[in-house]
Formats: sequence, structure tokens, C-alpha cells
Amino acid sequence: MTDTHADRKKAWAAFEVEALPHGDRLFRLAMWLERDRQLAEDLVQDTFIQALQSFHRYVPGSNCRAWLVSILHHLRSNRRRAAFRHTETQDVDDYIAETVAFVPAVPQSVTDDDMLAALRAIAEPYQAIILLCDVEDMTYKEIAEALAIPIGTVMSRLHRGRAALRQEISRMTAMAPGEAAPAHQVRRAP
Amino acid sequence: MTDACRDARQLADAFVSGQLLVETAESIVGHLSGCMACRAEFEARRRLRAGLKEAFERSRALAPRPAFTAALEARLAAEAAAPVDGRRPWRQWGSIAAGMVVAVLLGLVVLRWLTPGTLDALAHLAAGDHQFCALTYKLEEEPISLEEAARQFDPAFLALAAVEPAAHDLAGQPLAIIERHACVFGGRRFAHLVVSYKGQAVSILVAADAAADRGPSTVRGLPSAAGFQMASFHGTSHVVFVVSSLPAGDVQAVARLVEVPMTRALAGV
Repeated sequence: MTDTHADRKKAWAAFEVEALPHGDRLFRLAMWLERDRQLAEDLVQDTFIQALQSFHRYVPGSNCRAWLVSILHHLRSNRRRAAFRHTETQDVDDYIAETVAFVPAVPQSVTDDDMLAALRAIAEPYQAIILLCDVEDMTYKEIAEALAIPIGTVMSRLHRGRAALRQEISRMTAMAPGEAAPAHQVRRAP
Repeated sequence: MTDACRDARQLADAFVSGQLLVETAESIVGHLSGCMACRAEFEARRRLRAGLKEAFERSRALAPRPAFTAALEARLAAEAAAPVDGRRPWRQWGSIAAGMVVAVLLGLVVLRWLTPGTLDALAHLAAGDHQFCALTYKLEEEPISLEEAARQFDPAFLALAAVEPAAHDLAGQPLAIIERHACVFGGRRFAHLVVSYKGQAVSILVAADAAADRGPSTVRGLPSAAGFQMASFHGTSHVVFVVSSLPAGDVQAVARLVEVPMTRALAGV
């Protein structure tokens, strides 16, 4: 490995083209997950610095955004573990599986605020899967790698998460009787 | 609901996510063409997915601050331009040592090769300093006076405490110094003069640069950094950056206005 000025310049040019354009999307994801602008900025900054330092590991032509998301989640998980010594003692899928049996219709018109509030109301692990799949357009395999969970878990959480999201949207938009879902809350994961 | 409907709906999530094999997706499309209920259900899922994506991308509350984006880009550019000293494998020390010997032998030639990289990194740090000191006042370390900085860090900064550039450009447009201090951004210390020109803040940032003593100084435009237009010139052992949101021509005009008094001050004349 060499580290000439020309090498660094070339690597930076590639990084500028491949990685930097995803900054806005990555920040939105970080902001959603952290709910705090300062924490989100720290997380995104550290993600990009780590990405720059490991850019030789990025495979050109692969999904750079998925690669960045993977680094972001890895950093975030490490921080949370260090901060809270948090361990999941109960499988979130088991925890709320029974609460999303009924899937209501989707209203024709939903505001952005309602959509995001509904997403915020469902269990956090479901939020992450839905965001990575539906907003970031990542494949199940990419999501599984980013979150370090089995691909089957991605699929089941996505299914249940979307159902829970529909329930929340239905509840928030107060659909007409006969259309609306039972107004019960989806419980949050511990 | 038929068995075909149940089969199709079991795959609905994967279908709207585009995760199915082509053959499987085609069989679902075939079912949807003849089943109005499933078509409505799939359309609802597609609408939900699209609506969520749009809501997320439009949300102002989730958008990054422009200042953050600019500073991040400046920081990364500086990081990219710096050598990766601490990350070399041990087995490469031999070749590094050999490279250093060659570098010493090549002397000034190699120094000139390295200079553009140093200037690139410095230019990005200067842009970051303009953003976070002149515009948003958000530095990690409080600025100090040029006199204090001259005592502690760089004697040349003392002359900059009194330097007075022309008060107007050739067209009569006023140029006024509104702030002088020494500040640190990205670990680099700058003498910082903030001037007002055409209603905008313009930063004149001076940093020590051992490679700056290389012939007569001329103002030159630099590639924009972190969204700012930049120009530079050099004085005795120092490089001077002029940074602003003004158009490139205006930034270079300011650089030409301050060039002579700044270089004279840095030379101790």
C-alpha cells in the first residue's frame, strides 16, 4: 500500500463521487434514529470518517448507501451498548406479534406528519427495518448485513412492521366506521 | 378470498419491495390482473411505501443543517489530504524508511510535490474556519487576540493586528475590517481578519506554511471548498486564504486588495 499525494487525491475524488452524495439521506436516517440533532451530527460525522478510512474496502459498483448505513448502525450499536449496557431480553417480534393480526385499509390521503407520527409510534426495531427497506431501498440481504440479523428476521419484522404502521395510520386519520381498525395501541418494545 | 389470493398476499411485502424473482413476480402480476380485491390491497401497500418515502425525504425536521454539511465536507477533505501515518501495517516500515531516505535525497523537488496536498488540506480548513468562526461563531476553542497569538504561537501575527488594506476597491466599493483575532479550526491555527465587502463577510485567513517561500506571490483562485469561493496568495513563510460566499471574481478582487499590505506585514516591512 502506498500513501502518495496522488493516491490520496484519487481516493478522495472517488469518495466524493460515491459516498458524499448520500450525506443528506444518511443524516435523515441518523436524525430519525437519534431524535437529537447533535447526536445525529456526531454519528454521521463519525460514519463518514470511518467510511473514508475504510474506503479501500468498499467494492465499486455495489450499493454505497447500504455500506454507509451498515457503518452507521455498527457505530450506533457500539455506542448504545457502551452507554446503556443494553441487551434485548425479549424478542420484539414475539412481544407484539399478537397485536397486529388485523390489517386495516390504507386511507387514500395521509399527510406527511401523520405518516411520520405513525412510524414513530411503532416499535423501534420495526421502524428501522421499514426505513431501510421502504425509504433507503435496501435489499433484504443488505438490511440483514447492516443490522446483523438473519434475513428471515428482516422479512418477519418488515411484515409485522408494515401491518403495525397501517394500524397506526388508520387510528391517526380516524377513518369512517366500518373501515377503521380497532383503536388499540401497538405496544412499544421494551 | 381464494387460495391464489392467500398465496399472492403472503408474498405482498416482498413484491412491493422488489425482492421477488422475476418468475414469481410475474405470476403475482398475472393474479392481480384478474383479482380486483388483491389489486386494491397491493396498490394500498405500494401507496403506503411511496408515501412514507416522500414524507421522510420532505421532512424539514430531519434535514441536515447546511453548516453541518459544509463543515463535514471540509473535515473529510482535510482528513483525506492528510497522510495515514497511524494505519500502516508493520511490515511496511522498511519500505517507508526507504521512501523517507529517497525523499530526503530529493529535497526541494519532493517538497514541491507535497505542497499542493498541504495547501488543499489547509484550504479546506480555511473554508471550515470561515463557516464556523466568521459566520456561525461555533468554534470548539475561543478565539484569542492576534497579540496574544503572536506571543504564544507565531510572532508574524503581531503585524497583522495593525495591517490596513485599502478602504475601497477601484470602483469605490468599501472594504472594512470588522474583526481580527487568532482562532483554531481542525487543529490548525489561523490569524483571522473578517472584512465586509459588498454586504458579505469575507475571511482572510493566514496560516504558517514553511513551503510558502517559493518565488513571487500572486493571487490565484482555488477550487471552491465547502460551498465557498476561495483565493490564495503567499507571504513570508505563510499562506493567505480569502474565503467568502461572494462570486469568485469578487473573492479574488478582495485578495488583490489585501495582498500588498498583508505580504509586507508578514515580511516585517
